[in-house]
Amino acid sequence: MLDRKRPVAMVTVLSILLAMTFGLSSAGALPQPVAEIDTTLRYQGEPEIPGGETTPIIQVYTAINAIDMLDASNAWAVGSIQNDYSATAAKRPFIARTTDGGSTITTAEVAPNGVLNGVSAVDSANAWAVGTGAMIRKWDGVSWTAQVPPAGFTNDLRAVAFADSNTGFAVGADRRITATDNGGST
Amino acid sequence: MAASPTEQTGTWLNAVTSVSATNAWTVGDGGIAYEFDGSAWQPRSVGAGSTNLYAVDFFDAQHGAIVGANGTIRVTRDGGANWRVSTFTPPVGIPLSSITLRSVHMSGPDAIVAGGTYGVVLRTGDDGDTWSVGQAYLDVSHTNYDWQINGVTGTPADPTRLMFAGYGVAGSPTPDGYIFTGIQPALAVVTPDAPTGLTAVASGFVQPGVDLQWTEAAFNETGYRVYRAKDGGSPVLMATLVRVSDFYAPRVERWTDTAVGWSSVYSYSVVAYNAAAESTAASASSGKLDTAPPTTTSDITTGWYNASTAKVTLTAGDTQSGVAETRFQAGAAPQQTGTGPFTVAGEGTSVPVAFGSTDMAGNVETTQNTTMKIDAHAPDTTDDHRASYFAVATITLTPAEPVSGSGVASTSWLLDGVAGTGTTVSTRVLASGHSLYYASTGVPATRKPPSGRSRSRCSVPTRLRPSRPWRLPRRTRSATG
Repeated sequence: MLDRKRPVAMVTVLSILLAMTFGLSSAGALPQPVAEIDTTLRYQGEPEIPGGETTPIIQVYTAINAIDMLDASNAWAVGSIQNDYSATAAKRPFIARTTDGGSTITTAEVAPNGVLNGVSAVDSANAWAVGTGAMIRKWDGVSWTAQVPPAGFTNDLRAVAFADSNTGFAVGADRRITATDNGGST
Repeated sequence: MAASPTEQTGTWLNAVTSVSATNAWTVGDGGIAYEFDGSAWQPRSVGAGSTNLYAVDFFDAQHGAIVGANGTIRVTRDGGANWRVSTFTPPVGIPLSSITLRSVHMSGPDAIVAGGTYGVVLRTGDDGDTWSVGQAYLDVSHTNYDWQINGVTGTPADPTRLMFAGYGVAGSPTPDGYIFTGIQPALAVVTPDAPTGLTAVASGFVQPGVDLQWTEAAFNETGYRVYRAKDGGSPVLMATLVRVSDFYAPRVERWTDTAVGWSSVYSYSVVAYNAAAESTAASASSGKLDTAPPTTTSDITTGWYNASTAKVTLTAGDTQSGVAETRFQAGAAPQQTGTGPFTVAGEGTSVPVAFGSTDMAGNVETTQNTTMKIDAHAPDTTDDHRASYFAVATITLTPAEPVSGSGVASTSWLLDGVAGTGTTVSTRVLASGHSLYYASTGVPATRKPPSGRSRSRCSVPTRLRPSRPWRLPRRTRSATG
């Protein structure tokens, strides 16, 4: 894996699309494109998948760690975003939401620091994302709000799963599990 | 609400999925897995050893999948009581051990999609029996980026629609994230794999049968269909067997065909079937069911026969297909069919008799060769009388058996109308002479009346004639005849 090509500029069209279409969060403008990536999704293998009818969403400086579809149109993906490629750049929680089956996304940043690792959507007003430092965020249909983990639970969380709008589980470091039966209110 | 499993610092739980409000699974580093049973998290073994597990998903309470490092895949159909090892062939140039599967999604009870490092996308419609393997990437050359799919998701409302998420890393710790939508073809039920190792073994002692045995190769079959071609004819569906496949280990299946006859050869084709189609066939032939030739016995004994007793009766038996034909040949006569009784013409100590049978299945008995001892003629008897005697005449009769080996049973005589037996005749000399008639009986007389000439002479003594006229000296001559 030597001689790796470093992207230097993101596709302009995509960046314009991103800037125009995506509902940017209060965290500010998305990082400017400094990378140039071929945005054609290639698939090597038979039979063909994905269908290829949608242009992939690319966001530089992000790591997307999980995705959950609610239905054919709605999905949330979570991860982290930083300002540049440097290893020391601070990571911020990053959420991308699509309401049109993945053609376009809106993004949100829900904390100054941290990484989101897991997301679980139950319905359009109930979705949860979890991440480092026992970070738990709930989508209530309008915005993301913080939920408080049980006292003393400070572990990094890596995954979350809700069976319904009340009952959910989150797991992570040190083999710890936290659960709720009231939608994370307590 | 539910306590954590025993905590262990440094060990991650990497994924969790909820089956219901009272049932959930989580997996993590070192091959660990826990199931939430409604009140507590129970450790479960998924047979992954110490391999890190990164994702778990359940379609319903029964069907689930777990993936992890080294291309590890485990599939359950019974709610996690058992987990089946599933493997796939990685893309060319990528060792399986370097592929980390980081996401899994069940789009149907038997349909699984998984993603991981190298942009690997795996899909199966048959619970991981067969995988379609691909790589999704966005760079011109995917070797420039380490593409990694961290999430794959779908919706029950449209199993064909999938979304993938992940990132590509180009040499620095900071990646570029990507999300893409995939449309997979409607997941048809996959045709099951053909059974393997079919054998068809003839069985049965009284009633014929063919025992079929095979090993299941698929685990998505509804059952099996057995087709049979008799004696090279057209295949006919003989049986439809509904069998619950063993998802976790190939099961040996058995079926016995009893609608068979000893005389035929049966060719079998066994296919696994499900709602989609039939598998290709496993084939085997029974061979001829009746492979044992018939057995023929005769009533020939080692003793002597005469011309009238030299009759043979054959007994032919075949416990399976039955006797089709029995053949025999005796002496110099041409071969005939049947079991007799037939008369054997010939004479001597080894008159050849050969016989054998063929059964309905065409098995030919090895020809049995035997011999009979036949003496068709009575002994010739001579006397040693002289021209004259003094006072007492003693005459010795000498029977001679014309057939070597047979013997003389007895010699009888009439001296002047008085019967006697033995080979010595003594009488006083009379001037008028004597008449002496004699004859001998051959050995086959041990059965029934004496044979040949012996018989004629002994059984009708009144017809005896002097074998040789003689006269005693000084007296009258004997009678002549």
